[in-house]
Amino acid sequence: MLREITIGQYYPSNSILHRLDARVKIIGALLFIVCLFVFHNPAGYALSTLFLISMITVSKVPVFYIFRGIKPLVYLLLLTVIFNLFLVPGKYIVSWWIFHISAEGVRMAVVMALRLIYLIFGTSLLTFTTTPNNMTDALESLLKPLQAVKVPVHEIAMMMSIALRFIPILLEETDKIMKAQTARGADFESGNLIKKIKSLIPVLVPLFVSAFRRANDLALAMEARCYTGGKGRTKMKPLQYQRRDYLAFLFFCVYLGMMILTKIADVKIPIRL
Amino acid sequence: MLLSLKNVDYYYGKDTVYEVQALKQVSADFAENEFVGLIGHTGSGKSTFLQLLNGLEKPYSGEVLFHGKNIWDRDFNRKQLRAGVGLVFQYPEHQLFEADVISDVCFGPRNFGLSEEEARNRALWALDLVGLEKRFHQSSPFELSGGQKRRAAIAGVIASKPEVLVMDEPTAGLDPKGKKEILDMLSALRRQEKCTIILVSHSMEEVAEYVDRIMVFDAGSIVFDDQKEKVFSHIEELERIQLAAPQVCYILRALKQKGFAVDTGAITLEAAKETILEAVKNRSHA
Ligand SMILES: Nc1ncnc2c1ncn2[C@@H]1O[C@H](COP(=O)(O)OP(=O)(O)OP(=O)(O)O)[C@@H](O)[C@H]1O
Ligand SMILES: [Mg+2]
Repeated sequence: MLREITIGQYYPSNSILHRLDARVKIIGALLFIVCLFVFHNPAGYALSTLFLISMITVSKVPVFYIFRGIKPLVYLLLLTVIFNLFLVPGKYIVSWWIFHISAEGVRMAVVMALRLIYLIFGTSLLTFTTTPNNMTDALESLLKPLQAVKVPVHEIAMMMSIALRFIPILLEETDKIMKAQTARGADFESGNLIKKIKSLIPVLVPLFVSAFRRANDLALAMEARCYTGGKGRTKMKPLQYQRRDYLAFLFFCVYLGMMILTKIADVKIPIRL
Repeated sequence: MLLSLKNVDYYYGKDTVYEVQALKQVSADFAENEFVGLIGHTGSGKSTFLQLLNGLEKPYSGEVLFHGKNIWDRDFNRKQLRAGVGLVFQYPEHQLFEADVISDVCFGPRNFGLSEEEARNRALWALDLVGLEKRFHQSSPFELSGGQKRRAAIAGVIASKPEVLVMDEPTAGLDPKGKKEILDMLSALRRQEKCTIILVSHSMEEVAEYVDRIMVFDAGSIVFDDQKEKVFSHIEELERIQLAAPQVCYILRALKQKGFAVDTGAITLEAAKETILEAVKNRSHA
């Protein structure tokens, strides 16, 4: 059941996207997200879609695997759509009792849903193709300038990567505990909301206990290997830009350029409802 | 037949790079009041097999039958199945959650529809059986020692009085005395309640001593399923799949090679002692 959740996990493969420098991928994902929110014209969305589809194809990650990533966020998505659908004022096209749906609302709902889904796809593509280790190194390297203002960059990067690494571990643990309690007759599906929440106690208590135990073990293991933070720490595999990374940067520049063009040309396709 | 599996295939992570076929065309039958041992190298699919027995995992193909009924039929009550087939996971002590031991043991019986009082009586009975003394009943499960936690967790499953009790390495990480106590308790339970016990173990001595029938797993298939004496006569085959026979088997073999007339079919310490004494006696007479 929980094994289905794929968000934030790494999917091993040897695609060009996997081999790219993690810093390039982080910058690319950021660029994609920024463009998604800045250039909201139809041509911009078309371009984003094209970009996303080509990246997914290149990454060799199975499409159904990426789609699973949305699963835990379905409710958030639904909520966004509903709020936009009913609360955006404009020229009403459907009115019933206190509910009004405007053309603007429909447009906003679609746009917001699209943005959210693309956002999830874009970021999960980043984690699918980047190992937690590489992600930490890349974050540390990208955030390095902040060290000048005394931000503990290494520690933040380490924490983030540990958090990422713990997602699958805790999911697996939850799965195991849920199974064990199911074997003792626990029921997580039926009953009203209160009953459902109550039925989670037998899972949450052991889960917290085990999370603390694991955190403690990890801290001990790190200390046993003389980890004292980032100071003076060297890397076994220092990040180094390759030719393909420069090509990727070039590709991003072209992408950004085209995005700006859509804005300037403002190719507006009138949406008729 | 009480519980059977027919041509079951099971995959983890089907259609991804993580795909592993954990079980390949596995079939097995369990009758009433049997004591079966499951052995196999790590990763051979034993734990997966156990989870199919009480419907925690759904087979990719093939069927699981309890009292002749397919447990994945639409109208089959799988909750009731779990009352009938009790599963104790590996390291069950990690699943304790209640404020005190006795409430935790009551959790199962209560879920299976017993009244508060009945559940309590069952819990007291189960705790007594696993040998957890009265003074621990009201303490928090998190204050107990590892072995005591294990007992409390096992009691939590036994309290439902399952017809089939399935245990995944219940003795892992216990001291020798604790191991023996748990296994003796299982034997007693089987005699008293006439239930079937399925036990996974990595100790050949344990299996040789306690169970009647052994199933040997290798890479997702069952390679032997027979009386324990017969299974342990295949020492070479067992070694090829990184298992072994009980230590006494090797001693008896060595003695035989030295010319002692011992019965190499003995697999328990007691039987080995007898045949060795017998052989020594005969030799000194000759
Ligand atoms: N949750 C899971 N996700 C993916 N693969 C799994 C999972 N659980 C088990 N496997 C794989 O399935 C195979 C069988 O595992 P299983 O746990 O049944 O072995 P086992 O015989 O119980 O081993 P052990 O003696 O170490 O407990 C192994 O190859 C294992 O890697
Ligand atoms: Mg196992």
